[in-house]
Amino acid sequence: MSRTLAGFFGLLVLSVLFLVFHHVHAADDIHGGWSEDDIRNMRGLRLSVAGIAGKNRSNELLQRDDAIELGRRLFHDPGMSGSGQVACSTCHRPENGYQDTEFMTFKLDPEARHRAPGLLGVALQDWFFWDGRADSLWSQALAVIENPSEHASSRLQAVRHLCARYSESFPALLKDCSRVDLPGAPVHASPLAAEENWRRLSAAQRESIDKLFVILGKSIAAFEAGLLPGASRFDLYVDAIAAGDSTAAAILSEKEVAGLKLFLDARVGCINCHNGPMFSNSGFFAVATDTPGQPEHDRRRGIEILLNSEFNCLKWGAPENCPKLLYIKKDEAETAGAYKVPSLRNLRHAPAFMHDGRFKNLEAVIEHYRNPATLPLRHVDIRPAALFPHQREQLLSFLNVLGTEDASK
Amino acid sequence: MSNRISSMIAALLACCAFLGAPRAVAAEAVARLDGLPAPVLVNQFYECLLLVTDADGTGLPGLRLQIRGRMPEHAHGLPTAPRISEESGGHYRIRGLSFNMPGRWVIEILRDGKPLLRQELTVQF
Repeated sequence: MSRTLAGFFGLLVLSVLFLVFHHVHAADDIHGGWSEDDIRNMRGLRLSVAGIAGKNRSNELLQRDDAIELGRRLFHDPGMSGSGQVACSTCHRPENGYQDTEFMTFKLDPEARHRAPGLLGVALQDWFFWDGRADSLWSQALAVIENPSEHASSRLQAVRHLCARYSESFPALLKDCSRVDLPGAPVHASPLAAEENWRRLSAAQRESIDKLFVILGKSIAAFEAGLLPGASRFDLYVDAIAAGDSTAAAILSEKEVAGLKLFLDARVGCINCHNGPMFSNSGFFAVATDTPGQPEHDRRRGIEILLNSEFNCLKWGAPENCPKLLYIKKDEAETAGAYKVPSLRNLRHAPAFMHDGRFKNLEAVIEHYRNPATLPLRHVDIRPAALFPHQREQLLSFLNVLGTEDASK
Repeated sequence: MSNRISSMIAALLACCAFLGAPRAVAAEAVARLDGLPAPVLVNQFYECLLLVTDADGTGLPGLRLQIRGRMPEHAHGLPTAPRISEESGGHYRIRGLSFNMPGRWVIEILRDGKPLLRQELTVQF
């Protein structure tokens, strides 16, 4: 009996020792010095497309195969533009992560306000354009078509082209093309781009044109929702750390890990805004990049345009699908000089940074955050980030880890 | 001399009482916020309930309430403009509450522009 008891206690002691050893061992190898908070924060940055459906609730065509195919063709089709020469892909170059690496935006219009950004993961955004003047990917596409700096077209021309070229191939989507009496002339009509001509159309014509124009935008958005970044080395590292895989150390170098630690450090501040799967919290912040005396096209202006837009969420959908617009913040002091937080993924092809492209490399961007040129009496959301020169190098090396390839190719 | 010191102390106490006066508003009305989950996560929309009663626990309907929020370590307020709607018997509903940064946030409920409730919360990823 006593021998049985001794054996039992012996086993118990061994089990406890095993558990203790295993725990310590696991803490060493699995977490690699990362705290539970760090790991949770890293998982929040892990690439995930789970949010796409929720963020695009106003687009009922998002997952329709015919809309995706129509959108793909429209994206590469210059026929909607005023000159017949400009397609979405003219500036959003597919071979370069859909970024404007050749500064085509400025070649089309030297006075253009912004360069076309990359599109990988674009459907994970809440707001579009640097000032967030569009609240859906589909309404963003429509704004481009009627922007004199970009497609320089009108909804009448775009819809006429849509029906002439695609209605036979996409009968279910474009059935209204056969019902609408599209005027043969004039070429352009739009309340924005050719107002006089637009007013001459009947109310029924205007309504039909708008409906088809929205289908055009939703189809382009359905195609763009499939433009996704692949997993970066950072994502692989997070997976390995979370799974307790000992190969994690081989995925990132010591310098890159040091950069990641700085990135996650709330005192440095990057993580405060650059969080979520696309390294953006979809917010608008003043980071001392507005230019006094220049016409503002910041968040304050973006809100004005959005609220007056004919294609905002509330004008075309149920209010329950539009919480961003219903509860939009209009605080003028905080929205002045504020621009959208951009993604940090896929910066490898980016030729310029910030809303106006003022910096040509990431070194200059980090230097700006170390020493932002703030103006007196101006609301600014950032404080100087205290970084030693070697830490700047570490942070830079981490940002380069986020370069990924297009997963949809 | 001791008289002067006593009058200075009395003045100081009166001053403190004056500074503390806004709290009397909170003492007359008691507010409680319910329905926020733990933890509160970044970039989600939250809806929560607010109950405002007098000191005896009777609900106070028809109040003009506002909500504001901020991060004490940062310069900015809430990323959205939440709305408060009245339900019944001192019950109010707050819709459109959202937080876009992890860390410490402070939510304040104001009655006629005066603080009624101050609540701290920590937002996580």
